[in-house]
Amino acid sequence: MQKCRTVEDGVAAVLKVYEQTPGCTWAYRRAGEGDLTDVLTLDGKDYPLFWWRFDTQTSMLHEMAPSREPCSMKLNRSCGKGEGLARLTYREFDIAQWVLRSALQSVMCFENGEARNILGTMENGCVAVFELAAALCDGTEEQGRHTFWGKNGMGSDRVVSQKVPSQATYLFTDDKTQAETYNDVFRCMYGLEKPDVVRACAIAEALMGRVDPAEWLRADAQLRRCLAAVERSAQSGEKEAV
Amino acid sequence: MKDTIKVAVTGFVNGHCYWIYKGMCNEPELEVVAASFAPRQRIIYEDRMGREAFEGVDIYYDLRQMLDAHPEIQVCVCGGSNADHMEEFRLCAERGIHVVSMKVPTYDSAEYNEMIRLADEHHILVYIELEMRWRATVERIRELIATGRLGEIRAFNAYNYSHNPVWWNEWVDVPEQSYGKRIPLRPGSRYFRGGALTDHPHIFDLTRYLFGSDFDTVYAEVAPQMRKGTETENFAYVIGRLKNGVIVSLDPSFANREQERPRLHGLDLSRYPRPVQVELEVVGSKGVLYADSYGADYVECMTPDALKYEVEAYDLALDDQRRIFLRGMIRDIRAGTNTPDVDFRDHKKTLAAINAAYDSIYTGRPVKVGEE
Repeated sequence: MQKCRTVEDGVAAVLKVYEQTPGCTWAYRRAGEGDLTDVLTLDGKDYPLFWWRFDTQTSMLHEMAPSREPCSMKLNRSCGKGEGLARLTYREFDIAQWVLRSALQSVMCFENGEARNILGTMENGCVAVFELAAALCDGTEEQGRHTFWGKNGMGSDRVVSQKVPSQATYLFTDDKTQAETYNDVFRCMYGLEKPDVVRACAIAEALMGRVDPAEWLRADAQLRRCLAAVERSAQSGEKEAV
Repeated sequence: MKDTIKVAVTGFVNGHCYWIYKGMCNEPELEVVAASFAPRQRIIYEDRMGREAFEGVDIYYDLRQMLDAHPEIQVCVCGGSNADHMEEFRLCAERGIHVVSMKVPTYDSAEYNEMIRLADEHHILVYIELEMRWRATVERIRELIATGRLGEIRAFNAYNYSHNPVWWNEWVDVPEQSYGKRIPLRPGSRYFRGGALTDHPHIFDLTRYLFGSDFDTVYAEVAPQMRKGTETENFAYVIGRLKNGVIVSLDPSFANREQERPRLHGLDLSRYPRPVQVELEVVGSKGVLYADSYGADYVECMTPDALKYEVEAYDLALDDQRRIFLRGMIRDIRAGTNTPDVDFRDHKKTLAAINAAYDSIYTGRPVKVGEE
């Protein structure tokens, strides 16, 4: 079996499975300085890549939420220092709005160096809590938990009492104390770890026309307004409308 | 052989009374001489613990009668609803009886001041049952913070989830009995103070304990109610800043489900997925720490009757934890010292932060935490 080594390899593997050929030119660029997310370029036009919406667990939460009639959601996340709080906030805001099917109406933010706590109220009355930190060594797998509670159930991407994300494979050997881990997801993209699998899925879905990247552009504009409200709140010490 | 210390329990409507009572019965240096409670509570506890639960203990349905009939009582567990604590405390203090207090002596600042005055005037000990303080994990976190390995501390996030005890302790959802008065959560709201935020002060206490700093500002929201038929808050979310600059996010919600069986007195409380979860996160400039302070040694299991899935933490016999807690008080009584882990006077500041959170929910604005 040929191993995938890059996101582009993953995209090609998916397209091969579905026997699809992209109808446009495309390029992928990982988020860099000043970017709020990765960038997908289609026929020369840049789109923000909402790759997290293709995370297997996050998309499960999105699917199951309506039947549970959500009341609130907690988004606890720690990422690498290089990722930064702005990028993390942008992503977590989108996850909250996507899962709860409602836009943020107001935000209250307390910030301290690498950490930021935000209480958001949604237009549909739900409350979203964001506990965000960019304090991990770059390259460390992101930590945290997304959980929502509803009148008719709940959903979480961590099993009860679990502290860190579980991996698909743990290898213990007699020459070191820590396990070597692998988090393979789809057979057709064998060789890629989950963060790259998710990105490849997002791009492939866009190339196959199964998602409309224009929606990501619209969401991007609204998310930037949310981030601006967060900045205002952190400065003013007051709740700010989005 | 030392003389036993004569103890009594009153109220018995706080869920923790069960564990404290068992702890007292198991401690040879304590002798339970009397208990006072409403008749219904006696039936509930005899159902739960067996008809022999109060064998050899004089039973009263009135606290004053009990105290008058037993002048030998040295310690009394004040286990009534939160609204009953002031009267229970006064009756005990005026007789020089040391008090074992539940986690919430009172949310009324004037009442709390009166309790402090009574404790000072009558030279009694007050031991507050805040079980999170007994956890070794909390000490581990303190040590790790002190080593500097996390760098400068930026944030502390914690949750204390539980089922809603209203299904077997009805008073928890009666605002006058849980919070002490009926105050709407927001102007015109049909829901009132007295739910999760009232019932779970532990993580607020831990915040002050871990960082040695008081709350400066808090901002809080309540989410829509998860349960039908409850009138106090199910969800409460509090963010804020301590005086030392550390930011916090504290979540005391009744986020874990239970079956709605209001007359369930047994131990089968039907919980999802654990009855209680308490997890803590410390964010520093050099890393992040995640901890479980409610038992990380858990098993998953399926109950034999209804095949319900549960996750249970192994806990070193709850009775023993209470017994160890009570042994601190025994030592103080014998030595004539006053060294509880939780300072009764200082605990008022923790409850002031919770009151400020309620004020924030009411006003929709951040609130400075005062001394009250």
